[in-house]
Amino acid sequence: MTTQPVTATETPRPEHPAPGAAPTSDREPDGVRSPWRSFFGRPSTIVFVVVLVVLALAAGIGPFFVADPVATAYPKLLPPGGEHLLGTDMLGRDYLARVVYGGQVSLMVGFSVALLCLTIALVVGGLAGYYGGILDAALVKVAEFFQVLPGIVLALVAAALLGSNMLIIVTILAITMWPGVARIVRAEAMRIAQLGYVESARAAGFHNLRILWSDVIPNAMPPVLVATSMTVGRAILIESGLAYLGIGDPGNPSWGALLNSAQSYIRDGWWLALFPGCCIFLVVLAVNVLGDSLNDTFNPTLGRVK
Amino acid sequence: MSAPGTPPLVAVEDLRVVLPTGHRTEVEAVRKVSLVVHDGERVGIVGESGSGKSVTARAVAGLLPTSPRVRVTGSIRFAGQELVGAGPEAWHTIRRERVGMIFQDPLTSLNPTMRIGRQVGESLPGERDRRARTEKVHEYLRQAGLENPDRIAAAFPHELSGGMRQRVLIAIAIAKSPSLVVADEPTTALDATVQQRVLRTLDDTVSELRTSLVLISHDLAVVAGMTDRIYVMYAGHIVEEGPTDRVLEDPQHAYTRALLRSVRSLTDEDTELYSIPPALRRELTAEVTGAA
Amino acid sequence: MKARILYYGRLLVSSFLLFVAVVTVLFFLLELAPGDPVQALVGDVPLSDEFRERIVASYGLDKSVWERYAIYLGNVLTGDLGYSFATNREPVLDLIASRIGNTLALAVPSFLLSTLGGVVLGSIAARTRRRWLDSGISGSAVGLFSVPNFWLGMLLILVFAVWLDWLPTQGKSPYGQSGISLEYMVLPVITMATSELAYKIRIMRSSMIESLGQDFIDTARSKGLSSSRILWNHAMPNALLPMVTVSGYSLGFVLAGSVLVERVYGWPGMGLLFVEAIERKNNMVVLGIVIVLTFTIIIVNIVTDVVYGLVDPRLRDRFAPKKKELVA
Repeated sequence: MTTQPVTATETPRPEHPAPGAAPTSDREPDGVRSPWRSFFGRPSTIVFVVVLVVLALAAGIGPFFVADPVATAYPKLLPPGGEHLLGTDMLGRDYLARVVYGGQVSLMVGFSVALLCLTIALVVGGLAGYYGGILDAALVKVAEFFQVLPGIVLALVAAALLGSNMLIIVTILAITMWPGVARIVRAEAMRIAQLGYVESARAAGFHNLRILWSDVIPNAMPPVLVATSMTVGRAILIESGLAYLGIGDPGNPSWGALLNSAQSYIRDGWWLALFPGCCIFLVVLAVNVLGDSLNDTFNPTLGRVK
Repeated sequence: MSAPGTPPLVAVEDLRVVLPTGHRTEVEAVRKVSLVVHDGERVGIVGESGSGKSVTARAVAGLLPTSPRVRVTGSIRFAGQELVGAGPEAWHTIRRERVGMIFQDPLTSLNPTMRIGRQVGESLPGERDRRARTEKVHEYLRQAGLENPDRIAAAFPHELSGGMRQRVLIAIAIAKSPSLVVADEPTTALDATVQQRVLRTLDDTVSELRTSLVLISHDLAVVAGMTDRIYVMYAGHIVEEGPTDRVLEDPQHAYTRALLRSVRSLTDEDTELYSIPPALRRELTAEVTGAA
Repeated sequence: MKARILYYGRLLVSSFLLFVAVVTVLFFLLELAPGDPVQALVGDVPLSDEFRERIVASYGLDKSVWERYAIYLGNVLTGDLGYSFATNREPVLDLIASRIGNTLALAVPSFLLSTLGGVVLGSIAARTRRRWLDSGISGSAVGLFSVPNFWLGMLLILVFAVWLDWLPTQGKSPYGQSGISLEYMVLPVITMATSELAYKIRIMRSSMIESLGQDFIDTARSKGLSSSRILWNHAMPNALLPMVTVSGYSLGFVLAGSVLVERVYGWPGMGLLFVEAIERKNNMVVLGIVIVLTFTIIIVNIVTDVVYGLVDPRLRDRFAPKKKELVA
């Protein structure tokens, strides 16, 4: 046991004499400090925000700086370095350009799926959790359905039967993934609907939809955002898997599609397999780590003292 | 009472406990607390929630959270043996043989996946023979006021009522024949009618075994009937101590008086509900922080 | 007893309805497929007129949507999943049966390895005092969780087959040999187990932290038990309960992942069959595999539910008539 001087580590507030361990104290540190500040106070957050921003910028404005991704103007299978930072592919195209354009597709899919999921989930989950009843029962059943039929399988079947382009893939991924987010919205809405301020808003005669929109949904957001951020990562992973199996837009190859063509050249061009995979890994990792720290800061369970 | 010259069963001096409350924040839950428990004595600790009474009790029983960020300074001596700074082995021995603890919430304090008999049996030190062990488990269950001990022993916690579970916890605490039983709000989670009976059982068992008792409660009525001496805690400090009857009849400290008044206002119908006035709270706060 | 029958009856009925729902969705996806319905059914194979008529007749393609739906559902429920027209009109069920063993040869070992590893590593991460160890394990779990498993497979091929030349990578045994050779299994099993492992470490860690924070752990400490005994007898059984459910319900994702892994390693399982069927638009086989997959997952979910009911004493006698609680 240490014998260090025993002092609370937060800054003292001279106006209020410290009331000790009384529960009414305003020493509750996490309540006073903005959760966002503690979120951005973590080193891992900064690192992965930077990673995400760099990759997004590369995909967004990179195309203005790189070579033509379809020009087969260079020697084939040139290793990375020199003029071609990431080498060239089996047809003699600049691989950096291919990876940059591929990123556009992958990131677009990831974020639009997440946005769609969030929208559907807020509407359906919010209504189901707040009102309950048939809608609620239906949501539970739909969620169960997608638990039995994994998203990637349904997406494969649908793509096989209906053909594959970006729109279909984004739609199918959103259809299979929204129940996961909606379940969390539902649980939160159910919990919040029973809280005092909602009861009093109801007693004050506010319309239910208005209460739902202005009281329930905003307070449900923290865990819902965590789930949505995880959805970005999963959507990118699933899209890359689909593209690796050859399902995707052949005109706009995503990172997964690049890996599909890289497989046959793995002995002659290791870099073809390495770089797109690294990009997928980094984006998904960044999204997952940020989701985790969001979770830690907004839904803290650590540091409880009984 | 112990003979002159022999150390008291428990002697706590200048105890300070610092607990972490967040990633980088902590609180000094117990500040400079000194207290004594003699052999066979029953001691009450009262105070509002957050006053540090539970943390004090847990420190004495060696059951503070195991995080390295928990800091304990001062002195806790058990029968003369210093335990602050002692290794985990010393604490293991104390917990295994000397101190029994009864917790606040009987619903969560028993392992839901283990049968009652085994949970009580774990508390019997050194009994190897299986039949003797079962026999003893039944005996302690019966002593804790549970009829049909064989049926209870075969049950899982969820099959018992709250009161029965609290009796099981009493059986666990006394099964090691401890020198001290620490009961932390033992009846707070129970129905009013069940409370009385569980308290009586606790009273009887402690008298029968002649163990010392530390009873923690926010409820003065509970402590009044069962203890010889009480300590009143506020904001991590002991503000008053003395024989139970004297403290209740002639409280010296403003906080004790306020605490008593708020209890009486609950039982006497004609007075309005009394709560400690903010002015007194400010005064108390100034006093204890000034003293610290 | 009556409660038990009622409970399992409801479980079976809802599982059955779920199965029917999946078949229904698949049927209507097939309906939505653009182009010639016969071709959609048969896939990319040339058709004679006579054969075309036989298909139209046997699947009632001249009938209304609802009649066709009834026929299809009836066929599926009686175990008739149609024929693969790409091969010699082999029944889809036979085709699947010939491949499912190979898929299980990867799925079962990776399930066992990942569960064991997840329990051990998750517990260590939850309990260790050494911050770096917890951060290391949890960090690796997030990392592995974020790796596309097919890319991990490609990297393993690159390292262990191309650069080090230690292990073979394509197929399940040397050319011309039947059966499965162990050295061919190593990389696919590792690949498949990794993402499951990451997931299970995370679940186990949080479940163990939760379990160690429960009040009954304090009770166990108050008995003076050693910390290893507290871990094994008190924390572990309670922490494992969520793992039962999670492992069972994750099976769908494991099997879905096997599609990618089998593709990477050219492993002739159900997943590879599925991918080949999609490429050739062999839709009867595609639907057949999804139906078998769904059926398997539903059965495993039922089993998970039953097992969970057996291991958690609070649920073990959920069917027993409410015992009259003795009053203390």
